[in-house]
Amino acid sequence: MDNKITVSLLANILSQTTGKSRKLCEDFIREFFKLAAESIEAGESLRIKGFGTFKVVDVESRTAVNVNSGEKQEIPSHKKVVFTPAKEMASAINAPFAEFETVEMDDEIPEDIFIERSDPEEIAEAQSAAIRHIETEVPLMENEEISKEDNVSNERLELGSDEEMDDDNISLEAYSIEEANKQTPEESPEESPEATTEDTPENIPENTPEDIPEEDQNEEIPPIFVNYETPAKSRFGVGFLLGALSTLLVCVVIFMLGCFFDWWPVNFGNPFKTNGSIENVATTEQPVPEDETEVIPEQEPVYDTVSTTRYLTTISRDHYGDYNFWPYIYIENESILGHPDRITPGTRVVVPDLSKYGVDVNNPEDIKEAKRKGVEIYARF
Amino acid sequence: MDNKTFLETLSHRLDISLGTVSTLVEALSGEVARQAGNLDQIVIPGFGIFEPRLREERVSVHPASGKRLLVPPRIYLAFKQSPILKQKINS
Repeated sequence: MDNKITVSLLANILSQTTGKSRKLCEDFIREFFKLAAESIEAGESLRIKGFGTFKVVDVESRTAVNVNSGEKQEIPSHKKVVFTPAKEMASAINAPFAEFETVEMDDEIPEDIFIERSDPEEIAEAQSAAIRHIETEVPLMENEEISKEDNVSNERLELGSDEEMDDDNISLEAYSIEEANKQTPEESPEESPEATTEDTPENIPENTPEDIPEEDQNEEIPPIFVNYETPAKSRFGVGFLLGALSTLLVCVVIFMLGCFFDWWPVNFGNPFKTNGSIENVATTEQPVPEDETEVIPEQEPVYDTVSTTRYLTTISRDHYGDYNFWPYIYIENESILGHPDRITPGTRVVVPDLSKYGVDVNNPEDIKEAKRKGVEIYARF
Repeated sequence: MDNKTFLETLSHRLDISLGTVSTLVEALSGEVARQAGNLDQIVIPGFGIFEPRLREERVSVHPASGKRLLVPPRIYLAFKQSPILKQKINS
């Protein structure tokens, strides 16, 4: 910045960029401007493509004041050279600003901006004042909140125990509704009581209970909060805080219920599968969705759990009849699994239908492919 | 003098091809632009100084509509003739 670029320096750069000899470049630059000067002297205007236009213009005589002596002087009329850069040149120079455009400004905002810019000290003062203001307010708020939270947490404990009771009730209701649903279509005698007893644990988490208990929650929870809200209001008189806390509580309750029902398949899924009645389950499962028309039409995913004595290979052998197909189980559960040999016992995996991957268990080519996939999976770690 | 005559005269005087001259002119313009973009002056003895001047962004008022406009920064390439050139013109 603010360096002076001389002809020799320019010639150096030019020879580097064009690959011509340094001498030629220097000669060229000198000759370039010599010719330009000659042309200008002749009084012609000179236009060089990509560089600019030189023009000679007349300047009229004018009077000027000598700054030092204060005397008036007359500057006689003369000629001068005016240079206008070519469009290409101008845009190349302004390339860093090319993205900016002239912007129309709102009437009020810019004033503030410029005031702030001009008085940085004032801003600092204002900021520190604001911080002080906040600091004085904060402790009060914190105390209030802490006391409220204490009370609320106590309430929450009580509520928690109540809700566990409620959960039990709900789940019982879910059972009864489930059975009621089944019993109505089961007037056609195909589905024996065996189906209901065996299926309920499998079906509860996926189908009906998720819908039904949530509706039940909505009906049952409000009265709980009505009880808690009234005394709380009289104590603190801060409505919005309670509102926020009560919505939080609703969320917690829903989350807990969700957890509660999500855990069912783990607890109940195992005994059935380890007993080796998976195929039974699979066959008995299919008619159920037909009976309950609201339920998702897709076939339910089969789950299994990895334990210390039960690996992906064991699961693969149990489900597909060949341990070599474990990579497909791994691929299906890729998002939750890490190294295939270091799966945490208790991890619940989806056992995919092999037809999803277009694999035939009896095809030796597919077994080879599965082995290759296994190697691929190990190669990732 | 127009562009074509200028280039032809140059190629004749330096005894190099017209193509070489045009590539050199192109390279020279590019280099001048680059240096001017860095706000470096290009000094040509006996001819003048190419002096880039940075105009900061500013707020100007549109004379007709009265709307205020934020004009982005811009570099103008000014040319200052050397005294020798000035003398030659005015003689």
